Amino acid sequence: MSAREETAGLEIDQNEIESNWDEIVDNFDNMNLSPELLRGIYAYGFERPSTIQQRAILPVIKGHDVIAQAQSGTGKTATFSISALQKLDLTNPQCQALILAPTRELAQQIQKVVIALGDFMKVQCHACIGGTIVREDMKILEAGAQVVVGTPGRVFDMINRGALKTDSMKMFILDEADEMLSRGFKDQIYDVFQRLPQATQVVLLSATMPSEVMEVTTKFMRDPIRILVKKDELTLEGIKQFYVAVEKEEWKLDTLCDLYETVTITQAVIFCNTRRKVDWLTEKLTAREFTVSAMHGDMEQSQREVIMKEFRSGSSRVLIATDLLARGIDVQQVSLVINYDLPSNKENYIHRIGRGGRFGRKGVAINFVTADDTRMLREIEQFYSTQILEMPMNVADLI
Amino acid sequence: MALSDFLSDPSTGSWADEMDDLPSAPAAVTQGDNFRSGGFGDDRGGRGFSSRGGFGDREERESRYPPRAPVDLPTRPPYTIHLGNLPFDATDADIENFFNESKVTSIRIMKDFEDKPKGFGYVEFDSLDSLKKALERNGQSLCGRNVRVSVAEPPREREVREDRTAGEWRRAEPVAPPAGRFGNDRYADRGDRAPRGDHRTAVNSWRREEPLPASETRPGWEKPREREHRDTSWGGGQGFANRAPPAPATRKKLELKPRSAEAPAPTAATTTAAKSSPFGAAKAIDSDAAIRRVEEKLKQEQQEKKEAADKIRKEKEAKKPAAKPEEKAAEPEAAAEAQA
Repeated sequence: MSAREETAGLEIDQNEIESNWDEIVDNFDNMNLSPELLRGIYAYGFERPSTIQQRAILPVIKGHDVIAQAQSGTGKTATFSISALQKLDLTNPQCQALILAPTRELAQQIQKVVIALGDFMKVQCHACIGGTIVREDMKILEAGAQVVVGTPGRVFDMINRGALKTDSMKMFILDEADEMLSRGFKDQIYDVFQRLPQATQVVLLSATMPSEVMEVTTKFMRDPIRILVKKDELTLEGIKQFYVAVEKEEWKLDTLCDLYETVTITQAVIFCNTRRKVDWLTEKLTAREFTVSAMHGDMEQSQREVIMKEFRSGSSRVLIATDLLARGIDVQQVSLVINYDLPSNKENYIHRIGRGGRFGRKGVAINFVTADDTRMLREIEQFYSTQILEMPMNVADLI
Repeated sequence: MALSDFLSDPSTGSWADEMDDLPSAPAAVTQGDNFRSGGFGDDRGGRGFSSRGGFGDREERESRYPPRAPVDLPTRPPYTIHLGNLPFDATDADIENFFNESKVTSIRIMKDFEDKPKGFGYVEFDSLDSLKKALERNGQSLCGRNVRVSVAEPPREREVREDRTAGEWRRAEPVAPPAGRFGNDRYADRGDRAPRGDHRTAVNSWRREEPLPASETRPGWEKPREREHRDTSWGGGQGFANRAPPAPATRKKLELKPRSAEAPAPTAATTTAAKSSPFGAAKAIDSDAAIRRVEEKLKQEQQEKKEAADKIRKEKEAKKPAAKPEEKAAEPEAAAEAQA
């Protein structure tokens, strides 16, 4: 199908784009992976591959351009990490796989997964992110890192300074691809693209692949393998979705306080739509002697790292955040997500509620809905063919 | 908390922080001819308040915040005015009454996220004549405050940028070596980027580049409130009564049952046959342990590196004790690139 036909099709209905790859391998042993990598996979805790891993690992290893969509928390990071590790030439110290992610926290998380899976391969993997010391970044890259995981600004800078060499790059992986190709990042990704060898393999992953993003992909994907999920299958059975009718914006705070005991049963993330509101809510809850921590993009990198560390270790249990944390962040003990504000786009709804219920665990999402929000909630429900019920009194038992 | 306390609380920032994306209005002082009525006084003309006093040192304020140029009368819809110094208790109906000689098509009282009015708003009229009449009300009293009426700046039309990304993304030729190699200038070549290809000037063909509404929302995601304004036909004097269903006056406390017996451990959720499971035969795994091992390892490596660096530095210092203090300040770039 030519690019033009594909574009025309896109304008009719995104559902017309379908997967074009059905082969599955339901066992890591049968994927022809190197013994060292296989050892890392099992040491990491995996036993059998999830659906996306069954489908996507092999075409990526074979060198195809791949667009891989899968529900949140079903193993996308491991999918591309395993593929990239398998393709490395370990005798070459230069960067061969470049992975970009939209936030520093996600890039750091991916780096750790790559290192863990590649534990027995002696692989060098560097997180190349903003907010860190440029000179140290350069030093590490000069020494050689076979896999680089980063955020677009710093990675481009490192390429420009010549610290990150692109000559040996074989794979370019965009995690949260729809975010990376949306308005905020598109130009930066294009700039990076311009510095990569022409034959670089491109792999895109996300839980959401809106049609306008699929259209962008025609600019650089070559006859891609598509592994897609229909939007009515995107929400996970394991994540129960509820709403609380709070009527007025100013009642949300008290409503949240009513819920506090429930919130602290395990770990929870509370999403607000602006940085200021995150600060405001944190202050209000702290004044009422509730223990919460907060995270958004205005904070210093060192502070962000401390807060993530505390949350990951469980020493802080309730984290109030902007959409900075909507995507990709994997904290397994999170089973409750509260949308203090409904997200400003449909995609981030899926990503936000996917912070709970990781890899088949149970999760609960609670949406605070004012009179003005009702319509948006119904739109979300319809769009994903899902059900968002009024929160039951026994919600504590579902967490 | 009293509203005034909230507004003056520096930790919550200023309401003005949120003004960036809103069409902004000129200061009333600059309105020239429209600014006839008393009450507020044009202190440049020597009437009303003296130039020193009243509302504080205006000259000083003006030097800090130069007045905006007056906005021309709009030649096409929307015919919108900015309404400043608006009393917090003013309702849509009050505002509509205030402009009873003009036909109002929509009213937006700006509110903060606690739903408290910020003291300004926008009123849209059906025609230029209505707007001109409305401007004559500048400085007059609405619910006890002298409001400022001025032409609202038209919605900013986004500059149509050339779309660099319109063409093929992959390079046509092999990668040129980066401009700055390592040498003495390794930190100096930031702006010195490779020349850009011709295709960057290619005509914009991407849908997303069409001018979008000022807000960050995607098409189809307008805030319901805005949409309601558009849906309802706002006749003069009518249409303000039944906008939203009246919310109950007090909040109903959430009645939650305590958690019954210790709930089962959060393991695999049951999936029904309706949707195929995205997990296949995979089980929920505990990767935390593996990640923690990696964190330990990274920390240790860092520690070792630091110790090695310290050792080298000490040796250097031992060799030439009179060396200049090395630049130890944090890289300025680090802060500049905090936006990733």
